Amino acid sequence: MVRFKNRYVCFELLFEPPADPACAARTSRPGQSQAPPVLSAKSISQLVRDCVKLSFGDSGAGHVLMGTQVKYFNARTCMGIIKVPRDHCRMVLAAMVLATHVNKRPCTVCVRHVSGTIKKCQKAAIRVDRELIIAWHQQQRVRAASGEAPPVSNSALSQLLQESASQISALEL
Amino acid sequence: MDTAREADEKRKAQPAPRYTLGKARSVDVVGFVEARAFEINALQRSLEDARAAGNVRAFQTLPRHLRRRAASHNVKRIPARLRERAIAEMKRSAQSSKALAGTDRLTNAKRASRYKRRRSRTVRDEYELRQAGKRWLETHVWHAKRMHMRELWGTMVAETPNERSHRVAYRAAKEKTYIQDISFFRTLEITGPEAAIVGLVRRLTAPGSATLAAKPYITGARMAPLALHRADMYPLAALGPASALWQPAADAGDRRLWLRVHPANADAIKAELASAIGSPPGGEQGEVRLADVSCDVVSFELLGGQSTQLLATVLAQAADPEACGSAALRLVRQVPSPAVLPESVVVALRIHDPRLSFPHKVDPGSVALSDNEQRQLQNLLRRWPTEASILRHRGGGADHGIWDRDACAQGVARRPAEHILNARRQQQLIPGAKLVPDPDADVTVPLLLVRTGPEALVGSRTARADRRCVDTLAHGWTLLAPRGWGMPLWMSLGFAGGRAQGLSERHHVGFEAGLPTFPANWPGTVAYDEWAGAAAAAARQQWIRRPPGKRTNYLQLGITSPFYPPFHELLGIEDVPSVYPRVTADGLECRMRRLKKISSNGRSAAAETAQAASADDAMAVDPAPAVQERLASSDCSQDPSGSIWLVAGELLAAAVETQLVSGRGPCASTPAPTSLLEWAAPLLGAAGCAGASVPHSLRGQALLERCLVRVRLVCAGRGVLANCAPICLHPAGAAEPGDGDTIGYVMTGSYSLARGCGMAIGACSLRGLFRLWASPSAGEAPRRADASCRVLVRSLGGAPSTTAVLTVLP
Repeated sequence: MVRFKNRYVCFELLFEPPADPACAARTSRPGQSQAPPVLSAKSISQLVRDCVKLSFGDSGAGHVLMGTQVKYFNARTCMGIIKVPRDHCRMVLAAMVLATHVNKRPCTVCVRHVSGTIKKCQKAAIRVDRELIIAWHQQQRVRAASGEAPPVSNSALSQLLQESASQISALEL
Repeated sequence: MDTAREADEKRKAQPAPRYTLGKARSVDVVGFVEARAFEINALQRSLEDARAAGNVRAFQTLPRHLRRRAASHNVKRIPARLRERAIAEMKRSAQSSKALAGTDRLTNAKRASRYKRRRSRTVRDEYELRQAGKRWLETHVWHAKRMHMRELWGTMVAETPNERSHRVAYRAAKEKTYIQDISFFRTLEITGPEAAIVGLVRRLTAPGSATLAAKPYITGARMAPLALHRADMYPLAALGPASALWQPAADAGDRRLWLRVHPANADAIKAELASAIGSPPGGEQGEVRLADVSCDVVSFELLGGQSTQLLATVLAQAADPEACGSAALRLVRQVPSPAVLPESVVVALRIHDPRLSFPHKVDPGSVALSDNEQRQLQNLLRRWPTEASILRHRGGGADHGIWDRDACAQGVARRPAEHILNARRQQQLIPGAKLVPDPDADVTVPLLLVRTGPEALVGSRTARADRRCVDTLAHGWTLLAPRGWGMPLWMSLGFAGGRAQGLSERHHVGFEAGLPTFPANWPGTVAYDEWAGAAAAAARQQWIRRPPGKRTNYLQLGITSPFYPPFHELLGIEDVPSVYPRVTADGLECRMRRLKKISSNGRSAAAETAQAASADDAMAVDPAPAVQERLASSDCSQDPSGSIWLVAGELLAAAVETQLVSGRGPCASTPAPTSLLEWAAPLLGAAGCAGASVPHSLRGQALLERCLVRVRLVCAGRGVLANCAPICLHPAGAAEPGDGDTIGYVMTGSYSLARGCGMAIGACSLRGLFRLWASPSAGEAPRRADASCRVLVRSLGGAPSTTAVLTVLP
């Protein structure tokens, strides 16, 4: 019985900010002031297919068409996990790196983790989220200390942040 | 150009863009964090659900040691906490099965046959029927479920656990606790006047060694290691190692001695003792009596750094906490390893029924000893009290403990059954509390704890050799208990954290410690011949089973005896015991054409060899008649192994070692010895040689020609040493050593986890060691300590020979 091996790719979509001269060279996270793009799992699979067809032609697209599947995608945070056949994983990664637009919006695909099981990809996604939250929290604290922004005092939020921080340090230990 | 370069530098000078959250003063920041938090929760929930999802059955989540084969179809084999889940899974799969459609059943198991249903024998009767011809130990059923069993020495012995545990056994024996049921060891009881017993045993041991009348042994405070030979035939006709323990007795009357022997040579030793009792040298008939009490004693062996702590926990419920033995055990519970305590000390204890406080749990966060206890511990280690081996009654009388078999049997008969104990446990106020011993209903168990070490394996004191040869893997405890207490003690030891292993793991741990194990590493004894003969027959069967084109061609590689180490041929003894499968050149043939020619040419010759082969196999399978016929004749010329002198014991080994490393440079004051007799004179002196019935032809030179010395080889580079490989000197000209350079053979060779390189225990002839000493050291100007001890070991598979460093073993 031949075993079909797969690779699970955890990635994130990063969108360009609107035409704003103040932050022209910076990318920003979705959920910011502009309206979030309406994306779904179908649009992600369409994106992957189009990228591969564009970069590797019909034969390349034929290789990955059957085995590619979007396992998870969150439109708010734009994190997703796709399943790709192992033999063509590098082709799909290369194509995704070269992706520039989704739904006519300019974006970048940032690949976070590649592994053979979906469990590790889920864990990687959790880790990325936690680190982001902690980084944001620290930044807010810095900005509150320098007086640029009012301190965010939401008790439930700070509890979540402390929990995340301790869990991350426990993982690192 | 310049602008381009400047632009390049400017780009490189900028820090890498960090994905910060930008300056956007967003009102949706909290929403952003919430979105991330929600995602984390969702992913975590899906991970947990996936664990309990239908792609993994309930029994697949169990650790290796709790898995049972019938768990997939027999719900009772799964622990109670997972049973509901398992039943739900089976119901789900039963829904989709046609055979079970419509019924309430979970599996398609058929009803047992009518014969089985009507047969209402108890399990105990059935087990007793199955023990015809072979004895089951008390813990047999427990071992049979977890280990491969093998019939050896008339008992069913656990060979190796079902799971892979090579490294587990090593780690347990080094750092944690390794336990083994060694109740198959035989115990012989000798009763009689003290002087008569001492004289009797002295006839079987080396005349120069410390006798049983020596100070620490005679009181029963220590267990004496012995290396036994046939009566008055020292140094030839070795029988093997044994341990002796006196019963402590105050009055001057008959005394009792227990001899713990390995079952492989128990019959030979019993016969020898019986004949020695029947024919005393002085002529007068002594009143010495011999009895076999093996069935009345169960014993367990514990090795490992934490074994003392485990024992102290399991045996904590002492009947008399102030008694010397129990107090000593309580004090030493924190020692880092049993090697710290003096070797072979005996501690006598009496504890309450171990089932009352089952299951015992070793407390890892250990309580530190108070200052008073620390001082007491120091005193204890400095001078171990001899009263630790004596039990005292509360009332002041003598308590014979395990030596009094009738009292022990009465205790076992009186003890409450398990269901009564369970009823008492139900009555407890706090569920799960341990039972309190009831002086009327409950019994106490007398035990003997012996701190075993390399002495018992080697058969002599090893104080000096210890540091060089032995790792901590050889030190541990032996627990002796009366019959009937095997299972309660075994379960307590296992549940407290001891890892149970079998015979082959014990052999491996002894090998890692660098010690010879009996019977696999004692050439020159009858037990070794049987062991090696059986192993050789099995190896030869394996070799024959392979197709001729794929067999290792030992003929071409020049190895004449690939299945067993031919010590008899090495020492020039023509008579080889028939237990070994002798193979001629035809027997090692691998080429098809030659094989066909052989088989077609001599049909009669083939029939003869087949007959001889089957006779060999028959002998190998049933060695008892061979042993009997060897013992019947006391003349050593009929017993080929009886004329081998195996150097055993620390004294002799030290004599050989000093001669081996003695310098022959210009600074040597005395002239260097030129012949074997001169060189080995210290050895002969240390042996204090030849007993009365050694024939005159075997004194002096002839004796030295028959001398075999056990050695340990450690690989100098890469490579692993194989069993039965020849040990050779460095050849003068050629790269590979030839037949003439062989000085010995490897008995057990393997990769050593303790040392990280290949290692072997083998035996060399004394003449071979003399040649090694005399051979010119290959041009190494600064004389290294081990320069004279480098040998080559040939490989059995055609690979180049490996260099190894040789040390003499006691």
